[in-house]
Amino acid sequence: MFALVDANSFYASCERVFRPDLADRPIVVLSNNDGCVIARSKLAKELGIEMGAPYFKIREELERNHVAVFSSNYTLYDDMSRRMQSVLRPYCDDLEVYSIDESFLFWSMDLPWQALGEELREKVKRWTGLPVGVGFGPSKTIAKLANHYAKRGKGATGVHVLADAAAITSALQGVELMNIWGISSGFTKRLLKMGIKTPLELREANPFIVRRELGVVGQRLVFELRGEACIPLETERPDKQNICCSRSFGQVTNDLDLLREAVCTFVSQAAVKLRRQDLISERLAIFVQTDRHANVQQYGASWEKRFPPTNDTRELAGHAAECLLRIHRPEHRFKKAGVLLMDLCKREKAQPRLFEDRDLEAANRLMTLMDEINQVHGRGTLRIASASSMALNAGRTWHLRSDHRSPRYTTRWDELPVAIAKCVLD
Amino acid sequence: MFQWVKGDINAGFPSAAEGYEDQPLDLYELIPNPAATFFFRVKGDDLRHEHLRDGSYLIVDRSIPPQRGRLVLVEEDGQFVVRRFQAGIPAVVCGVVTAAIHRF
Repeated sequence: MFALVDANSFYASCERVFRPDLADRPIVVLSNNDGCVIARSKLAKELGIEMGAPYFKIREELERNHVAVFSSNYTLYDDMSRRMQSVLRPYCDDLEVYSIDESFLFWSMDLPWQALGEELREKVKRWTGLPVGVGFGPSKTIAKLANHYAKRGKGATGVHVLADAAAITSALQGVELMNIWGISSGFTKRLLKMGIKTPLELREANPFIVRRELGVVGQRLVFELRGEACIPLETERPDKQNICCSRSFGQVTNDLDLLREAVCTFVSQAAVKLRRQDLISERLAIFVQTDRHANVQQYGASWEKRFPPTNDTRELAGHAAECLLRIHRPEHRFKKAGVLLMDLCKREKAQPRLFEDRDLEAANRLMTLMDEINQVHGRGTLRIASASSMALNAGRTWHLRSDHRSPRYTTRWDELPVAIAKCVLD
Repeated sequence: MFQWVKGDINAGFPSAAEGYEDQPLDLYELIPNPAATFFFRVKGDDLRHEHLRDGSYLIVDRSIPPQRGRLVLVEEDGQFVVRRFQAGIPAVVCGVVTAAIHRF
């Protein structure tokens, strides 16, 4: 049996745990750089605030309704996410962290699922303060569907079990193809072409015909809907195909030095991720973009470059700066820039080059040392000169805007929540 | 043939502690349930007689059910409050104070 456990309005709920005064107030959380709404509490949803709504467009509406607004505080969310996982892990045989706020759980034996679901919910709530929904099913796809029912619809209690064929059938009757995990809008169109209009029809379809039309992914889906588990837990994350690091700037800028500094900082961060997985890259792309919401001439461009495989921040920053020069236009002021590292492979599998003039071992030792120092003393303590004032100088125009970030309550001594001492006899 | 020697090579006498090394104490080991444990900072001197002072660090375990007479963290009027738990006082109990640290 599988379960999908996910937190309700996770980011908003994390904020709520540390703010008892917000019990009756709607909460929204904004994306990086305070761009748009990425999480809404139940009350905020009831106000009709849309997911993805640009902050500057709805700011007045939020103020009028006394909505508490937060910049995203990923340090806090990550810590709360890990707490959630540690509560759940001892309960199951295996656990897959599917995203920051959802985990798949797996059991090989039969248990009283409804009671277990209620216990999981109660325990996560009491230990971490986070409300979660639990859905059980014989495959990941059905567990995900059960989770949908756990939170939505009449009489939703936060736990939903889809164990037998009858329950699964009636659950599938109540949803559209689009509500099924793994079915995108493109996939829906292809299914429609085959004459499959509902999840139930997909389940009854001939898996081999589906395979011919939609490949193995489609066939797997048919079996998953029948309650035959085909998608295993991914307890170890596969290595990434690309590493991307991009940000919007606090203010627009056309200053080449500032842009180079931003791009080199993004490269440095991407390179840390690269080395953490012991990968090397041999192609990178740089992209820039003007402010899409501003009434100015729009310009967006990217440039890529191929080079001898490396994980060395210094080399990567050089390539990045070169790409930037190709696309920088002084007449435009940029709102966003980013870097993409591509063609990744494991360092030990890298093809040695015939005429290698670089001391790769020495470079690797230096980078490892730099990562260790930054791990201990904080990101950006030791960095390449072209990424110079990163992290230390918040006044930089390209620096991320987060005007409403809450304290990092669980990871910083100087940002702990306050408890007022009260004598019982008062 | 030669062998790799683990650790630094000391030209003088070998350490008498060789083989007895241990990890230094880590206060974190005193926390039985890290997933449910949160730190707070005390504000006010109302609980001086309980050895809690303004600025003390509170270690709160949300997994322990509150019992009468224990120091607890409650939500009260939209604030976190630390007090002795007494039956009859309605309050949302968030957790039990397991330890406090005060720096002198």
